[in-house]
Amino acid sequence: MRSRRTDPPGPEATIPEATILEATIPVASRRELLVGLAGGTLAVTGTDLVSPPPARAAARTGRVTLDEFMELSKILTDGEFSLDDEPGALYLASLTNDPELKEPLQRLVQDTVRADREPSTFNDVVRSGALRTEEAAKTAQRILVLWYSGLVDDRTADYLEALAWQSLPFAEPPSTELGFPKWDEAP
Amino acid sequence: MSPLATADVVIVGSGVAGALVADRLVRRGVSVVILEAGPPVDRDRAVEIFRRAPAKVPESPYPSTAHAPRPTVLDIGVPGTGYFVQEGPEAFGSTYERVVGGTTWHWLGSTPRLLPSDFEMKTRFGVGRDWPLTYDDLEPFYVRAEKEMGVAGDGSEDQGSPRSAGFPMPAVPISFLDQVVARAARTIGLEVLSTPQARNTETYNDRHHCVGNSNCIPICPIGAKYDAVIHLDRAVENGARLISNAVVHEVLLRPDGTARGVRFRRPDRTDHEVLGRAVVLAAHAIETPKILLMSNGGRGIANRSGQVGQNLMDHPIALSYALSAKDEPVYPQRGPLSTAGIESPRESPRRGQRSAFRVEIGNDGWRFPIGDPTFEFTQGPFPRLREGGAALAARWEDHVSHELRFASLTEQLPDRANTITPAFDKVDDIGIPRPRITFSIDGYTRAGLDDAKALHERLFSALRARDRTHVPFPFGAGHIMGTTIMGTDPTTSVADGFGRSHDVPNMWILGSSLFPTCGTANPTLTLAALALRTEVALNAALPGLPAVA
Repeated sequence: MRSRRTDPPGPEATIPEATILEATIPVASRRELLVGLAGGTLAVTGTDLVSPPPARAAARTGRVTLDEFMELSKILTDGEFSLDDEPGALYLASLTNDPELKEPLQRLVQDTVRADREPSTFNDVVRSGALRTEEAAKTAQRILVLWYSGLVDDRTADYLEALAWQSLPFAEPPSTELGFPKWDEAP
Repeated sequence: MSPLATADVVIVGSGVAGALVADRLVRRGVSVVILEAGPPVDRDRAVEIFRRAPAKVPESPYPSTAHAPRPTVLDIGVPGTGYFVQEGPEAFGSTYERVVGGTTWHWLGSTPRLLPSDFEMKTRFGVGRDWPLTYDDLEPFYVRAEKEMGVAGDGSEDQGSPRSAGFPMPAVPISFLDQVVARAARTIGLEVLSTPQARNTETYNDRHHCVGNSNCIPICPIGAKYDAVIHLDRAVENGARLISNAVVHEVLLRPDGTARGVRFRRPDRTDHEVLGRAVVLAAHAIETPKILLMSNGGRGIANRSGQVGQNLMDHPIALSYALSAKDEPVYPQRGPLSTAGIESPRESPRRGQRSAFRVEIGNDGWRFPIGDPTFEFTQGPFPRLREGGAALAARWEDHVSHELRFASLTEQLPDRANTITPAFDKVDDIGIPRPRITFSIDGYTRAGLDDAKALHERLFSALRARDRTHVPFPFGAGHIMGTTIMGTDPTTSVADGFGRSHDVPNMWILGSSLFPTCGTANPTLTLAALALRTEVALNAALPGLPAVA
């Protein structure tokens, strides 16, 4: 007999405090911390703490910046949602740490965010040919799964703002208030 | 060893049964000490932990401590892992919490009563056992329990359990999804009824009404769903002493066979004693028999019948899920996780041959069979779609808005071969034996599981549902019962109809471990009613009990 209410196997409930970026961190330094996290340099040096230039002005090659990743994510979701750079930094770090996705991600950014004519929607990206390779398509899918699930490397990066909930206009994420008794009629 | 504390009544376990009895006893002027193996829970902190948990399982918000480990649904079915020592042939699938307030932290909140026939299975159907009390004996205590816990229900609906009083609160409105199912069910002769539940629909005992946080399992963020902390807090305010992180592992006996108190172990492995005139075991249906069998140097106590730890039962669940008709979204993921069910199969005419069952209609989409939508998205077709942007969002919304699931709770008959015993060779981190479990599901229950799936299929057809799945194995319901069953014969039962041990005259047992048979009702209201009935008997017996020794 199996257990009631199964979910995926995974680590126990708590996440090490070090991975929780508390809201009390000042905005500027919090942003710097995210940049460091996305670049895999949480033990930051002085130069790492310099905010990157805006995406459009970024170097045309090289490491994908958090701004570029956020811009790519916005394009892949048609700009329909509010995307937070805090989980975004965790997603970017996970992708760049994956040897199978690091290069395809860089090429996808090259073909979209860094392109002369930047696409603005998922379909624009398809039309541009940026997803023509299997690697590029899988990378785009992976990015969307991260944003929808809010799960990265067996941890929760973001639950309440995960797109699996944000994209349901009739519901609210569990543990947040829907209202009484709004469940008894069609939304 | 000098005792850490003394009291008239020593209660082991701070779940709903222990909390209710403690609350009433202290209000009568009886001194009470409550011992709880685990730590207290901070609700706000627990909600945050839930949100961060990658697996939104019932246990996810609650601490797992080295000194009071507990089973989790992630452990079940993975041989060699977890708190239980599972000996098979099947894995026992239900879990519980070891924290202040017990498993009422993560229960669903459904409070149907047993049916009158559930008390007379042997007499009426020739299977199982009869209870040593009737429905009529318990009915006044059902009323009291509903009032204490704050039950909302529709008194105009016939749930099959005669009532002498109305519900304390108006019913929780059934969901839009329930209404869609009800229309379809009616076409095949079935009626959907609102489920009585310990969930506020108005301010009750200074607690807020439900606002649809849709998270009854694993945690209600605002306490609109009843939990035992309500009565624990009141008991402590009135003078009860609550000792948490105190793992009771032995009931101490005098030479004359009466109980003189209990011995418990702290996280630092030191042992202490609390003495009383009466001992009450309310540690649920795994830990209570384990304590009894560990006592007396591991030879056990209160076990003239040989049935302590035997007759372990659950409500094995038949689980089915599907998508509603394309043109009829049901909009789940809103409101309490279940607000209605189909109750008529509880009174099956073939009950002597096949288990009865009740159908729980879920408002929680596919959270039960698959997981939270955040996890569900990583499964099935969605991770492989060559789609994004607004089109993907629309496809996902369309999918989730059609999610249906039915979970039918079947009944298990008491079987002495289904056991929980202390695993003296497999101890936890403070040296206390873990529970060793042997468990199987017999043909009677399997026939009920098959009937339930057949009914789910008829419902799906009436709903024109798509993508139907009937999970091929039963799930645990979280309803742990039997193991110290009550009866009139001391040679075949552990306690009498008031939960009083046949063998240790100043020891009482509370909880669903007393159930001789399990019917099909979620057990919490019944065990609460039994506890309130026991409290009256215990209080009446107190003057004749021995002094603290």
